[in-house]
Amino acid sequence: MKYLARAGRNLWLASAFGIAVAAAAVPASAATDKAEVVIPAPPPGKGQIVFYRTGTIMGAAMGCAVNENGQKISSLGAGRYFILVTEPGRHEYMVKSEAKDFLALEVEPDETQYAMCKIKMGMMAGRPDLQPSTREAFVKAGTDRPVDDADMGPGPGAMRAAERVAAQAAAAPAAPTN
Amino acid sequence: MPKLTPVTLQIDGALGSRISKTFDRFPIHLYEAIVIDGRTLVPAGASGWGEVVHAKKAGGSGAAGELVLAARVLTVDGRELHLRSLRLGGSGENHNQAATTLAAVAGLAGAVGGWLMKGSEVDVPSGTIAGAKVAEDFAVAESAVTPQAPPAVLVDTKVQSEGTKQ
Repeated sequence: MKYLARAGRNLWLASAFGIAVAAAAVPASAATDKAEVVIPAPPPGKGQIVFYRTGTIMGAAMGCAVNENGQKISSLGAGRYFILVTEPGRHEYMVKSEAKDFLALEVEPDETQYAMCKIKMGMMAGRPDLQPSTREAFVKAGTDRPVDDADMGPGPGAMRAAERVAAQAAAAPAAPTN
Repeated sequence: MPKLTPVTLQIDGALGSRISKTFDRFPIHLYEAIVIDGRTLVPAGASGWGEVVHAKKAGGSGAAGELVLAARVLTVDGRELHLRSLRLGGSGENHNQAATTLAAVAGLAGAVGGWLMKGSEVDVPSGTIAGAKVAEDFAVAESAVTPQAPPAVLVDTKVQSEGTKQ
């Protein structure tokens, strides 16, 4: 009897995990009926990276803090993005919550790249995974909510709301990216 | 030769998120001659190298393998022609992605206890065609310039690289 109770509980846990995992594999929001987010071109001679996170259920309550050289640039909540304007060259970014992950990118002048943070299942808590991405994946994910200024860190480069709105307004039609 | 001139390269070694390491160099060569105004400025075959900017093996929780590559240099007339904007499967035109960034699709669907699952790896086979751009203006000695005899044959590089995971 005790065995059956335990088996039933395990079945319930398996079902719960199965739902969570399936949800994690497919972005929760589709971009089909939304206006595409305008990503302005970087300032001349600079490069930029769009960091984003899909709006999945997995780890939705966890932040994904993006850091460079030990300085926090911004936290990414589920379904949020921010634009980091930076100098060309190799940059290494770290995301951390209960665990860490690293991603190095080659930033080149006048170009835009994309990086996506996902929260993956861990043994005790969700684990952030920062991975290279593309403009197409960003659009497909339907991520359209910018990070609030209050979630920005002291690290330089992440566009605040006023800068972003001004740049997006000036970038009509959308700047070519990716 | 003005900066941002598109070039078509071939990668001369197998690369992958499982086998490559960050900062590894890999050999490349110029796949198609650089031709401007009917004059061949750099013949096909010039050799050079690229660099693995970032490599990470696939891991638990279905974490996909990651690979970020950059084209660095071709040797032309004994001098370094600096490159940028590598992109697999392109001719170097009509794109502005800085470096080739690849992440395999995580194989999580239906997994129970997903942290035991391993994501897919990224593989770039030897011989993969890639596009890039000239990073800065580059003076070519007049003696090295040759008029192009037959019209250039355009190779559809996209078809050749469709097998690459992205």
